[in-house]
Amino acid sequence: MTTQIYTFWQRVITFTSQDRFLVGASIFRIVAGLTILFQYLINYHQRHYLYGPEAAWPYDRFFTDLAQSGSFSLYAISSSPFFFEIIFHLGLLFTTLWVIGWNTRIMTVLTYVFLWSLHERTPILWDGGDNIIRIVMFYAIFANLGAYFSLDADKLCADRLQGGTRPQLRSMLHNAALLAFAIQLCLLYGVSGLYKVQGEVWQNGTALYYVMRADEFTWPGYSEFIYRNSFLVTTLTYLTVGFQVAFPFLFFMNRYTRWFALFAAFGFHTGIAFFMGLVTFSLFMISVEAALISDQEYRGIRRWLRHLGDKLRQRVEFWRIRLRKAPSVTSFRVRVFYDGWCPVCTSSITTLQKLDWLELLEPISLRESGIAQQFNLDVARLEARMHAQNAKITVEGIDAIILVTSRIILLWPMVPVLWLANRLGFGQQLYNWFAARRLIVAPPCDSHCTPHLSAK
Amino acid sequence: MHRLSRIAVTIFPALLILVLVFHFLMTLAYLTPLNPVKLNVQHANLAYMQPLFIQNWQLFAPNPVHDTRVLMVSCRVRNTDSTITATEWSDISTPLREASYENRLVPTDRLERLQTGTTRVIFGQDEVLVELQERRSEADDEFNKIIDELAQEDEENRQATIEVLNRIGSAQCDRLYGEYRTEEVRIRVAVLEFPRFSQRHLPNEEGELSYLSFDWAPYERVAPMNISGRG
Repeated sequence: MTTQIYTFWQRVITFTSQDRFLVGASIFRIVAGLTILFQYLINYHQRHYLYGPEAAWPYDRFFTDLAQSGSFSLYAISSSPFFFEIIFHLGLLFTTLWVIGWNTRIMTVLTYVFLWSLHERTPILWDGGDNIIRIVMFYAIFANLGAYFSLDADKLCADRLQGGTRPQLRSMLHNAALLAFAIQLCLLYGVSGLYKVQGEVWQNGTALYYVMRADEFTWPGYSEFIYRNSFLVTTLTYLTVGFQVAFPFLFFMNRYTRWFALFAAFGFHTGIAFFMGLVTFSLFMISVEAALISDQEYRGIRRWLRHLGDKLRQRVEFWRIRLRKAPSVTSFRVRVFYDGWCPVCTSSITTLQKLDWLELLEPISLRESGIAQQFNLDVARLEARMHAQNAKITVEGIDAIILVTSRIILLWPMVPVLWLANRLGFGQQLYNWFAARRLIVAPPCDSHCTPHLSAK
Repeated sequence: MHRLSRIAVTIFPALLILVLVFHFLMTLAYLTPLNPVKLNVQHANLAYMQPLFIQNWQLFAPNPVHDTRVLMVSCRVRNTDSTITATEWSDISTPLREASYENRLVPTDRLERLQTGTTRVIFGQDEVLVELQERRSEADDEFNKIIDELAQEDEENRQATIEVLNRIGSAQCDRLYGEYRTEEVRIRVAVLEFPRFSQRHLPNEEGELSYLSFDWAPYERVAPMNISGRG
């Protein structure tokens, strides 16, 4: 019996000593951090009205509430506008550093403290998403959030590989923190679902109608399609309650039900973000859910995405080759006469060739021998401006650029702009101005080499 | 040292499990409705949970919102000839909401939340207090005294929140009629009970509209809102 307990406990120690959910924890840092940054920045110009010493939520009430609740806020240290600016901007700075993963462990604590302080300053502003992030940020202090996509990644990886007791204890703490994320999320869903079950309109399947019709949560032009349809309202109302009550069981049952629970949660919150306008709520929830996908699962997702990308690339390549050979496409081919002694022109042509998926461009340097005669072009004009020629016409300057742009799908948005510039008269002038000032670097010539056109 | 390390590594997971079990049992107790077990541990539970782990997951539960609330403001502004005129009521909620209908990522979202959050406090009822008031007993003076104290606290909170509404109104008066012109502000909340589910095809105008008006209150200086347009 003692041996069995000992063996079991050794397995527990081995299991908990390995860092788990490191990718998820890093994704949590980035998604949650960017959402917090968004909150700081979206109301940057309203910061005094929302959080400052003269904010709508009175400073003396904020102070009294803090004293009553035993809480703290850095904004309570001083009511001076200058001090407010310092604290607000430090919060912004620390959150940015947290997102990029610079001294992640310290930045996690600082981001948490500054976010907490902001929440306490105006407690009326926040929703369930802010509530969950406040709590999981506390757990996150004990987690390793910088293992991936951070400036700390290499340093933290070296620490882990070093071995020894301290990294082992740190890994245990990290795993416990991530477990706390999971239990907290399950409690959130379970409790929320159970409270809903007690409500009359959740029982009779009409709750979603009332939520979606209230001005606060509606999305005119879209919500009506749902709330006027009794089948959709009833189904979605029951699905919401069923999903929330079932979430804790689905999450801990097995890996397949966990995937289902998490991906359903992603869908659920994306819907809430669009239809109810609770964008930051949804992002915070998604950030916590993203933390609970294991490293192996993320690697699996990456492999699947790569496979999907390869398949897509093959398909695109197949169609590209077919299109290139199609006579209806080849009839759009254009010869482009550019200045091969002009570095800017050469690099522009190289870029255009990369974008030319259908291989409709045939670049020819005007410095090549006998080009003007071969294609029946005027030497002086050819030297002054880029030319483009198809089976029917030869154009130059801005017209040539329009013709070339029209052959490259990715550049199609530019065509109307260029066309308009040309029609308004300044397009050609602007082109001439640039073309006349282009740098021309003639290659070193020996006795066998003569410039085919006069260089400026 | 090596022995100490081994002991630490052996004990630490057990310690972490204990901490997690304790923490989430406390959280569970905090989240459950009032029950006999919770009553016994409530003092210790609140002391542990507040303020760090305060949480409320009654999202749209047990019953969701069933009306639309709109904040309106009227301002007594000083004219150039020093006379004072009371302005018409201005709807200060709908423009903020309309901005977020067009684009979900706009600054007006939080400004609107300040209004709805404050209004919710005014209209909301503390469920524990309601439950306790239902159990008010003629014989138990001590119990009644506690209920009265809680009720008074609740009323003070409501009054303090009305002050926030007046500050929101003051900032809006500045925005609408220019800074330093307003002498007094008055807030009213328009409550539209839109048609019930069985009449879901009817427009909002067919619903029931009622108002809750507050008294004129002195203008208070509030930082400007810094938003453009009608918002």
